[in-house]
Amino acid sequence: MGSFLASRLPGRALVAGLLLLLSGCATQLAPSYSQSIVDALNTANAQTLTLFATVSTGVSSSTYAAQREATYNGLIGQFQAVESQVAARPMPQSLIGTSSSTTLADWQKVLATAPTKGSLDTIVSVLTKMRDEDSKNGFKPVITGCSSATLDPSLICGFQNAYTQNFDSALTYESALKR
Amino acid sequence: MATSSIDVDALLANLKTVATGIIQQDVTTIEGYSERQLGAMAQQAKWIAAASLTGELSSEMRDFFLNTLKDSAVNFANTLKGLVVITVEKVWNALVGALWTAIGNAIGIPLALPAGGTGTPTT
Repeated sequence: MGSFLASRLPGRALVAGLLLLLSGCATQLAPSYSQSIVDALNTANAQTLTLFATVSTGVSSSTYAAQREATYNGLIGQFQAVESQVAARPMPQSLIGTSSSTTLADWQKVLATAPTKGSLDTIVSVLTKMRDEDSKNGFKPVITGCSSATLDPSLICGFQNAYTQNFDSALTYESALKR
Repeated sequence: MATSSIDVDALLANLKTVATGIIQQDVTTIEGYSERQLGAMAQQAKWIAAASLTGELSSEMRDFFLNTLKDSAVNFANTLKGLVVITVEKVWNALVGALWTAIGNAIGIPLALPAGGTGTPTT
């Protein structure tokens, strides 16, 4: 009996140890949460909203280069940097497929529908168009407010609505990854 | 490790509680997000029409905002899909965790969670 236990226990202990070691595993269907991505989004958002507040009083293209060009370029660069982080992060195998021969096209397909990347693409496009418009024509002031019941036709409202909607998508998804 | 037989009714109640809790919490998030997004798209559509009528938008600028609105709708759909996938993942892991714990208790051995057939095991 004693020798039986001696021969069985180490094996059982080993199996139990392995089971305990593996018991922390879970299935992952979405990317891992990244505090640095969320922090970068919040930082860029605060600066972008400051820019919207600045131009909402009305600005002339003559002051663009001296007062706002660097801000636009800095913001576009920040959102592109976050986009690079999002594109480069590890994706769960389930999104790529289980085939051993994952191709570049498979990755491109996954990235094309990756929630945050699309939103950041659109944000960069919006800020770039807004920068170019500011440099050429400046902006008329916002009169009634972009979210007021009485629609304000100022171009800034169009840019701000588009920006806010896509930023909401990016932040909501990235925050939901904390699970 | 002591063993205990599985009480199916209790396990079922536990599974329902686990799944319902996650789904209720996530549905609140998804509903709020969807309402904000739909409201924003409706507002933007109204703004494009109003700004076009006042002559604020050139045809080139109107096309830009229309394209952006289309992209925003796609981003909304992809984000919604992503949020649902996160919920599925959480429910799946919680259910499997509860089931494996119950079976582990019944046989006296703590069981490792299985890696999903379509997912990636992570520690």
